[in-house]
Amino acid sequence: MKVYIYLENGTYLEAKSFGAETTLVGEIVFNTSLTGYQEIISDPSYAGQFVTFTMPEIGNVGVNTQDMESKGAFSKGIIVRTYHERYSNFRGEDSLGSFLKEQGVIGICNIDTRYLTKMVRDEGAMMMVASTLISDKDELKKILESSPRIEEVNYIKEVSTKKVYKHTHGTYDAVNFKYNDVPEVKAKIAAIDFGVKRNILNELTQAGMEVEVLPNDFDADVLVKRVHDGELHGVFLSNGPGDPLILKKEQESVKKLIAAKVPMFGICLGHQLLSISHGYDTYKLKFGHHGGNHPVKNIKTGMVEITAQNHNYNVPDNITEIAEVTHTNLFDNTIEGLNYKSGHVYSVQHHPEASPGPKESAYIFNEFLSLMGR
Amino acid sequence: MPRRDDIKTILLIGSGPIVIGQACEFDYSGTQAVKTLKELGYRVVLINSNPATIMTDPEFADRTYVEPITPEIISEIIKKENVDAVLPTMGGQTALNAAMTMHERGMLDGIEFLGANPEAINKGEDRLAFKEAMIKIGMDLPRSMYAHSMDEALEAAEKIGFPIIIRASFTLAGGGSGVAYNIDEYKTLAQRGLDESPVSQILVEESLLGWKEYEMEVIRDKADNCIIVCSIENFDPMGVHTGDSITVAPALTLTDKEYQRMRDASFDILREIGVDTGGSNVQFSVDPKTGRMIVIEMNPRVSRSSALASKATGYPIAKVATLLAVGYTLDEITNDITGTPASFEPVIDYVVTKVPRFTFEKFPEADSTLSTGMKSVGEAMAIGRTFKESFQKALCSLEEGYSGFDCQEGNMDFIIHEIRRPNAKRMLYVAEGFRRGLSHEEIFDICKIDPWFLYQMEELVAFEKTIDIDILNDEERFREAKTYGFSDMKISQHINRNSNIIQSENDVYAARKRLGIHLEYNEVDTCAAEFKALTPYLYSTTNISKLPNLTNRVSEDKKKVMILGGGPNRIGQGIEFDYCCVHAAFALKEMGIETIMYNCNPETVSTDYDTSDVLYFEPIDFEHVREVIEYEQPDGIIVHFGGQTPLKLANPLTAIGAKISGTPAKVIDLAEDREKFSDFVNKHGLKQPANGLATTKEQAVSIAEELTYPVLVRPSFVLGGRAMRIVYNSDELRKYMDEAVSVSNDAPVLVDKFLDQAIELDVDAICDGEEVYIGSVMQHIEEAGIHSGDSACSLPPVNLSEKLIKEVEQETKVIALGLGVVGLMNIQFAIYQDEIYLIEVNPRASRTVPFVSKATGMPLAKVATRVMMGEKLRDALKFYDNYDVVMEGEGILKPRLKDHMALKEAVFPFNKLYGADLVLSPEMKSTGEVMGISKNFGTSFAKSQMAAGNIIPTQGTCFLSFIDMDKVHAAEIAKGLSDNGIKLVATKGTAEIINKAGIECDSVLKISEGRPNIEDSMTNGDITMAINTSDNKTAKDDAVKIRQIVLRRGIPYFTTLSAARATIAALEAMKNEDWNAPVPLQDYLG
Repeated sequence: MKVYIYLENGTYLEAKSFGAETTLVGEIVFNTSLTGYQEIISDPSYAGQFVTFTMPEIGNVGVNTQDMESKGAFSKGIIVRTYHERYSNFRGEDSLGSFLKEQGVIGICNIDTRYLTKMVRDEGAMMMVASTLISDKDELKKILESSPRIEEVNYIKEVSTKKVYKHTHGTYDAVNFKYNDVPEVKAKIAAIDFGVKRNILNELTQAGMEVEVLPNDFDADVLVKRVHDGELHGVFLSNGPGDPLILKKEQESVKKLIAAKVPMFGICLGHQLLSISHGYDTYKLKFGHHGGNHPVKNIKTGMVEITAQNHNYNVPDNITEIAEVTHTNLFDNTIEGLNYKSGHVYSVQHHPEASPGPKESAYIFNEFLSLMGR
Repeated sequence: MPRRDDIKTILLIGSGPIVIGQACEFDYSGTQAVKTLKELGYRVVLINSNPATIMTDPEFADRTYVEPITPEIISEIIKKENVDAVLPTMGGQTALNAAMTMHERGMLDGIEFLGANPEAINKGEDRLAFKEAMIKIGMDLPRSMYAHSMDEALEAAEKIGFPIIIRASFTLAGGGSGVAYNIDEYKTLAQRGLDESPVSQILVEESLLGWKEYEMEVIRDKADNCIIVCSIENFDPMGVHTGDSITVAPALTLTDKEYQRMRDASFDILREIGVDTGGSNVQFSVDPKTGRMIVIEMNPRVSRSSALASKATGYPIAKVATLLAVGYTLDEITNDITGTPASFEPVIDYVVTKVPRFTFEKFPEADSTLSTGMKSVGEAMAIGRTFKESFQKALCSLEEGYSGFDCQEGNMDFIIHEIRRPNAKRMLYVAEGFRRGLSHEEIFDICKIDPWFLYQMEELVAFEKTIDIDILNDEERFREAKTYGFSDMKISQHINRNSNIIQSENDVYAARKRLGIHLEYNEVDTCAAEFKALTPYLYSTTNISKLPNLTNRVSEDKKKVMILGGGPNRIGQGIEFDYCCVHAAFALKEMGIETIMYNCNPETVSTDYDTSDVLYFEPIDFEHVREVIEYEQPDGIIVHFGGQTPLKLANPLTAIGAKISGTPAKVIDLAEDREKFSDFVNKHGLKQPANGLATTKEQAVSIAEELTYPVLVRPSFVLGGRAMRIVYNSDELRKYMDEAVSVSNDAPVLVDKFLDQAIELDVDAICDGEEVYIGSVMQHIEEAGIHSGDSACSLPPVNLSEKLIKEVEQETKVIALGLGVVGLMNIQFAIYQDEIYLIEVNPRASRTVPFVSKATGMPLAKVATRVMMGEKLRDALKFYDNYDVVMEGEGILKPRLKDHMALKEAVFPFNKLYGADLVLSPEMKSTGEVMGISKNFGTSFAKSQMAAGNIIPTQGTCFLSFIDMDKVHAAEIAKGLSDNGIKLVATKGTAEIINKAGIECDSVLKISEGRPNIEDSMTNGDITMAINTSDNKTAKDDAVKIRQIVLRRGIPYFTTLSAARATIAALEAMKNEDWNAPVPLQDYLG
C-alpha cells in the first residue's frame, strides 16, 4: 500500500505504508537515536508529530510490553527508510507495523529519510500531511492548509491521565529482565501528567518516592494545601507534547505552586512551564533536539553527560536573572538545566530517565529527595 | 585542561611488520598520533621496523628509528633521546607487549606511560587479572579455568564440558587458540596453546558457540567522561575470531534496554580496568535465547576495530585518544567533521559492513575453517543505506571477483556443510542455500546466524529470482534492485539466468542511465545529517525514490585529481600501495590540486578523512569508479599507485573517456601483454628468458619441451605471483595446467625458461618521457625463482660489479623511454651467467617504493606524482631533494649512495595458518616487511632478521641440511658458522662432508632413521638455528616435519645458500658489542 505525503514547503512524496490506513496532519521532526524506536513511538511528547528516524533500519527487534513508555502511541506517524516486518529479538512480541495499525499511527517507509532530515535541519520543523487514502497533491495541500498548526493544538488533554492513580513499580533491570524491587518510601510526591513517560515514574519510585499521578487539570489549591499539610512533599512536572506557551491553565496552576513555595522538579515540558510561569517565555528551536547523543555539561561537576533529548522549545537565556544554570548543551550552548534562586525549584530540559538513551543523568532524580529535605 | 607541559619528548612505539592480526590500522593510528603530537608542539621520537608506513616518513616524527622493536633497542633510544613519556597504545599488541616487558624488567622507570598505565594494561590483557576485575564489578563471564600443564588442562575439561574454547595467554590475534569438540582435539589444542603462550598458560572456557557477538568502541578521558563511538555486531555468531567475522555497524538486533546495558557495562569495565585516557574496545556475547550477556575481552588500546569504527562513523578515534593522552578532556576537543565538540556519541544513518579477506588459495595445506585464531589478512568495508546494499557493496569491494552473492556450485550436502562450517565464503553458501530452497529456520539451525540477517539474505535471493529482462524498462523495480545493492554486473547475470537473454554489465548500465537511476553520494558525517558536514567523506547509494539532489558537492574551481586505492590488504597487495596513494595525495595537495581519494580499506591512512580533500569509500570496480568519475569529472585519475586492482581499470576507464594521468593505458597494456612486450624487447635489443604463451595444456607442454625444463609457469595478469610455479618435468606441468589454472584464449598461461641460480634485481625508476631517475637498484638475497616480495633484498647491491649495475641502469632508461612511461615503473632483472635478462616490467608503483624512498631519502611516489601532473622530472626531483640525493651520470639521474646499507626482509604468516608449509616459491606468501639499516651489510641483515622475529643467535647449535646440488657449498657454510662460534649438527652424509673439511660437526639421525633424531633435538631446545635448503619438490616427510617444528618453536630458519651466507656476515657483524645501536633515519639521510 502506498502513502502520500505533502509538506508545507510544497514537497510532495510518495512512499510505502506499513501502519494505519488514514489521513493525518502533524509536524515533522527527526530523531537520531540508533536504538529504542518503540520507546520513542510510545513517548506521549511526540503527540501531534511525525517522527523521522535517521536510523535506516527500523522494526528489527519488533515491539514488546516492557518497552512501552505509555499506554499507546500518540504521534501521527513514523517515517523510516526501511521497515522490517520480520523481527529478531528474544523479547519481541509483535511487529512494529501491527502495533502502529492498532494505535492508528501512520507508518511511512521506503522514503529517503536523510533527504527529509536535511530539509528539516535547513528549513526547520514544519507541518505535513500524510495519507494512505488520498494521493492528489492539491487535495493534500488543502487538508494541510485547513488544519491547525501544532502551536494551535492542545495535545495535553489527549495524553494526560483522566484519573488520579498511584504508580507502583520501579525501574526495569535489563540484566535479569524484570522490574526492580521498590525501595522504602522516603517522600511522597504528586507527578503532574502532561504526557509522562513511564520511566520517569519508574525512576522517581526507584529513588524512594511514592508517586501519585495527577491529570493536567489538577486543582493547584488542593495540591498546595496537601503539601502544606505534609501529606505530600513535592510536585513533579512531567514532559509532554506541544507548545508550552498555549497551556495557559497549566501555567496558572504552576504559578500557584511557585507562589506557595512547593518543592518542584520539572523535566522537558515541566521545565519549560516552570520558566514561563516565572515570567520567562520559551522560544521555538529551528528543528529541536531529538536523539540520544547530545553532550550536556554539568556545570557543578564539569562532567559531560550524554543525554536523551526530545524538545522543540527552549527556555530563554535571560532566565539566568532568576535561576542558576546547572546544565548546558554542548552542541549549541542552549540551557539544559536550572536551579531557581528561590531555592525550591529545579528542572532539566533533557531526559534523565533516558528510555531510550544513555542513563548517566539518572542522579537528577535523587536530587529531588534532597530538595524536599528527605 | 590544555596540553601537559611537564613532558617534552614522547616516544611512540609502532607495530612493526604487517602480520595477520596487525595490519595497516596501526599505521593509520600511529600516523594520526604523530601528527597530533607534533601539532601540539611535542618532540616525537618514533620506533617502527616497517618502512612501508607513512608514520616512518622522515618528515613526520622528529627522530624516526626504523629499528627492531625490542626492549633493549627501545631502551637505548629512550636514553639517547631523553624521552619523558612513552605512548604504547597506538602500535597494537607489539607495542603494548614491548612496553609491558620493559616495565616488568624495570627498563621504563621514570618514564611515564601515556594512554594506559601498566596496571591497566595488565588488568586488561592478563586473562586471570581481567576475570577477577570483571567478577569484582559483577559482570557475567563464561565458566572457565586456567591451566599451566596438560594435567590441569584435562581436569578443567572435565569440569566444563565440550565444546571447549582454549585461549593462550599473551598472544596476538588469538594465536594458540581454538575450539575443541572432543578430547583428542582438545589435547592437541591445549598443548599448542601451552607452547605458544610465553607464560605457558591457557584459559579453558565454556563455549559460547552460536551466541551473538558485539563490540563497543569506547573512549574515556581523565575526567571520567565516557562515550561510545560505535557499536558493532558480528554477522557470524561466536566461535569465529572477530577479525575473521563479517561485522556490521551499528548493532542491529538490540533493543535500547539491551544496548544501554552493554554501554553501561563498557564504561564500568573501562573504569575498573583503569583505562584513564583513550580508546578501548570491549567485546560482549549475548545468548540469543535469554539475553544473558557475557563479557569476552577488552583491549586497552587502539585496535583494528577502532580503525573500523573511525571509518564507519567519521570519528577520529586515534587522534582523539592522542589528545586525551596528553591531558585534554573530551569537551575541549572539536569534532573536525561538524565543528561541534568531540564529547558526543556519533550516530549514523547508514549501515556499514566489513568483510574479511583471506588468502587460503596461497596456502592450500592450511586449515581453512575459521575459528578463534585470526586467519584473515585484510578487510573491505562498505557503506550503504540498508544492510542489504551495504553487504552487497562489501562483496564487490573484496577483490575476489564477486559482484554480489555469486552462485555456488556443489550438491546440497556440500552446501549445507559449508553453511555449517565457518569459512571464507560462508555468506555465499548461505545465499545459495536460500536459492536452493532452504528456509531461514533450516539455515538458522545449521549456522546460528541471527535470523534478522538471514531474513535480509532470504529477501535478496527472493528478489534476484524476479530480475528479468523487463526490469530494464521498469524504473520502480530497477530502482528497488539497486537499493538492495545489486550491482549492474549482478543484474545482468540474473537477467541471463532468468530470461536467458544475454545482457552485459554495460547494457544494464545503459538502461539504468536511461531511466535516470544514478548512484548518489551521501556524507559520512558522525551525526546522521543533524549538522552540516565540513569534510566531504562520501559513499554511494541508490535512492529509494527519485528526488531533487541535495547532496551535490560544491567543488572549488580548481584542478582535481582522483587517486584509486588498492582495496583490501592481501598477500601481494598491501600497505606499500596504500603508502604510494597517500604520497600521491600529499604531493597533489602541495601542488594546490584538489585530491579525491577512492578506496574501500578501512585500515588505511588513505581512507583517513584528512589525507585528501575528498574521500570516496567505495568498491573499486568499474561500476562504482565510473559513477564517481561521472559525478566528479576529475582532471586526472591516478591508477598506477594502488597495485593491480586499479591498474586493471586503466583500459575500461580510458574507453569511457576518463583521463588517466601519467603512463597511459596502452603502455600498461604493452607491458602486460606478453607478445607485444616480446616484440618490444627484441626491437630494443634486450634479452628475456626464452618464453612462450600457451592457451591449451598441450601447447604448454610443447613450449616447455622446446625451452627445456625447468620452466616458470603462471597465468597472465597476476600480482603477487598468484599460481606461479617452477616446474621440472612434463608431469608436473600437466598437473599444474589441470589443477592450478583455468586456461583459455582470454587467459593464456605464460611459460618462461627458468634461470636456475640467477641473481635477481629490482629497479624502481621514474620517467617523464624524456629523462629517467633510477630510484634504486636492489639485489635480492634469495635467488631468482623466489617471489620478489618474499625475498630479502639489499640496497645498494652487495656484490655486483659497477659495470653490471651501470648496464642495468642504461637498460632501465631504454625501457622507460621506449615504453613511454610517465611516472613510476618497476623492472625485475635476472643476472644469469653474467648476462642481464629482463624478467618483468611493471609501469606502476611497486612494493619496494616505500623501502627505496626511506633508504635513499627521495620520496619516489611524490616525485612521480608531480611528473604525472606534467612537471619535468628534474624539477620534481629538486622539489623533494631534502637530503641532497640526486646526482647525474652518463645521462641518468640517480641517488647518491650514502654510506649505509638497507636490507628489506619479508615476514610470513606461517605461524598463524596451521598446516601451511614454510616454503618459499614464485608464489608470494609474505604479509609484510621490515627494514634493517646500518653502515654494513652484516649488521643490516642481522637487524632485518631481528625485526622480522627471526633472531640470529650468536651462540648455540645450528642444524644444517642441504639438497644435493648445494652440498658442494656445505663446507664453506659450515666454516663460516663455526668460525663465528656456532656449533654444528647435520645428518650423517652432510656431517661427513663437513668433517672431511676439518670442521667439527656432530651427526644426528633423520626422523625416519630412528630415535633420538633431529625432531627430538629440536623439541628439546638443543637446536638454536636451522639452515635447510631442501625445497618443496624434494621435500620428504623429514623436511616438512622439521619445518613444522621450526615454526612451532620459533627457531630461526634459513632456506637458501645466499641467506646462509648473509647469516654468516651477520654473525661476523654481531661480534661488535654495540652492533644494534639504534640510529635514526634522519641521521642516515642527513
